[in-house]
Amino acid sequence: MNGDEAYIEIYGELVSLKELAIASIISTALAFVLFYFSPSIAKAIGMPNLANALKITLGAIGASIGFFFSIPLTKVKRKIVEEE
Amino acid sequence: MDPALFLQAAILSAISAVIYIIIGILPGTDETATMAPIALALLMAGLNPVLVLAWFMGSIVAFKIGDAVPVALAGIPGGVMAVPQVPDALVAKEHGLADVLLRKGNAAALISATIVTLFVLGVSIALMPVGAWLNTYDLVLGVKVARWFWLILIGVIFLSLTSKNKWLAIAMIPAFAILVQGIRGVYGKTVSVSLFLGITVGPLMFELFSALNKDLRKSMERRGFKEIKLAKVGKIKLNPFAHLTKEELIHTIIWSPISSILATVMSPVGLTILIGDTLRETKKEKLQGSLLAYTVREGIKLGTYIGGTLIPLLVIGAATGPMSAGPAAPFFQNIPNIGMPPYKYIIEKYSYWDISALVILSVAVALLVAYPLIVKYSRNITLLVFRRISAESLYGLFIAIVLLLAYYDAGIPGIFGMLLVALLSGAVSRLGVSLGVLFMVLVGAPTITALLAAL
Repeated sequence: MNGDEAYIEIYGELVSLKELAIASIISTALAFVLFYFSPSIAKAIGMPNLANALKITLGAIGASIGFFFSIPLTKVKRKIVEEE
Repeated sequence: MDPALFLQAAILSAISAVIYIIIGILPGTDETATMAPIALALLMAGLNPVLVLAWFMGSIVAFKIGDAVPVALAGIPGGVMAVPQVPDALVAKEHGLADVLLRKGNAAALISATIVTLFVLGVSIALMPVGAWLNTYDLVLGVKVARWFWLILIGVIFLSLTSKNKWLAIAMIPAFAILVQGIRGVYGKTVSVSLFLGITVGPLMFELFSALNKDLRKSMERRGFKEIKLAKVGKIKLNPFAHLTKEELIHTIIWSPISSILATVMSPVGLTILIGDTLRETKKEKLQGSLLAYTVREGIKLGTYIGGTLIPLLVIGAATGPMSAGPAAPFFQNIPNIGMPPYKYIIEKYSYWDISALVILSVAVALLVAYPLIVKYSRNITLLVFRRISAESLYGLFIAIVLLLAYYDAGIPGIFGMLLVALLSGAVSRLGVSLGVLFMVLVGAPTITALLAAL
């Protein structure tokens, strides 16, 4: 990957479809894994009656963890020039 | 209200303010696509709706203050509402006044958020009797129709007529209502969440799927990185009044509350453009006109978002405008685990004064977090966000949350129903139909189709 690669412009941002696919898969996979395992997680933390309520919370936490994992795996495509 | 709830509201508003400053600064982050799914996720996770309202008020304040930063410093919008600001920001930047603009915008936003919150809460209590009248049902063509439906219909027709493609927008009112009710018929239940999410991510999905077509991709391809020139920022005083001229202050104080009421049924972007551009034309000198228009628009942005959320929520009890049917729509959707729409839970469970105190507290906390942060560190935060957070990682996060919520709402069919609505929304949006039209039709779809069938 280098600065000469062709990117797609979406809403003024340059996006690599490959990197977007990687980031989306990581975030989605982690969201659904935590979503599915929420009953076991609820049981493990001693709150089995909260299993249903925790589904979305844990899913969203999974997606957010995916976001942090994606940051180093995707490249920022902005070149900042600081005006003096 | 329990004092612990106020403490929780303050904490949530502060967290929301920090997160939404970053999202606000990032380019390409649409308000509805970034604010609604998170609010919806919090509601569906079982958080008290009144606390989600505190979170939401925090996000409005921080997002609107944050999205002005890249406009002032680099001429690129941080959100849809910041787009009308770009031409005037570029005029100021050419004259080397980027940091003056940033200060003026911040000051106007702070003053507007404070005034409009108090004003809207006052107006809402005066309008309360109207709310009861609006929630009465009449029999029309044998169909039970709530009176607020006519407000939505007037709003959606008005919005269609101000859309770039007004005839298609008008045609989409019955067409989209039929699609919505058709999908609900297939599911066998009245889902809203997945369909609503479909509209929010529609334009993004449409662009992404267009990019998968080789021929279409060619026109979207760019080589190299995107160069962003970031202007210098001097020392900024915390006192907001020190940054505004008398004229800018008066116009901000007048137009922000007016736009907050108009946003009950009108488009926030439309109001921002209309009022800002009219003010700019009153000035002979280009730079003076741009500074005045930019400053007052920053106030109007906050006014429309706060009024467009609170008046429908507290008075009308229905999403009657593009703001309440867009970014604030989660408060008007039926949330399965609450068993009713969150707005109803909030107004039935808490007194008007408790809700008002909580709203004032959350706006104040968000301002206390966002305003000094932007005043002191706008350039550093922008540099950090622009250099570290890729567009892909953020889009990936939102795609994951949207898929998760659509699945939770209606299982695997929920994901494909969402995709269908997303592609249609993206396509008609590209053809010039305001997405607000679709959001409002989603709210009125059962009545629209019932009336159509009865004709």
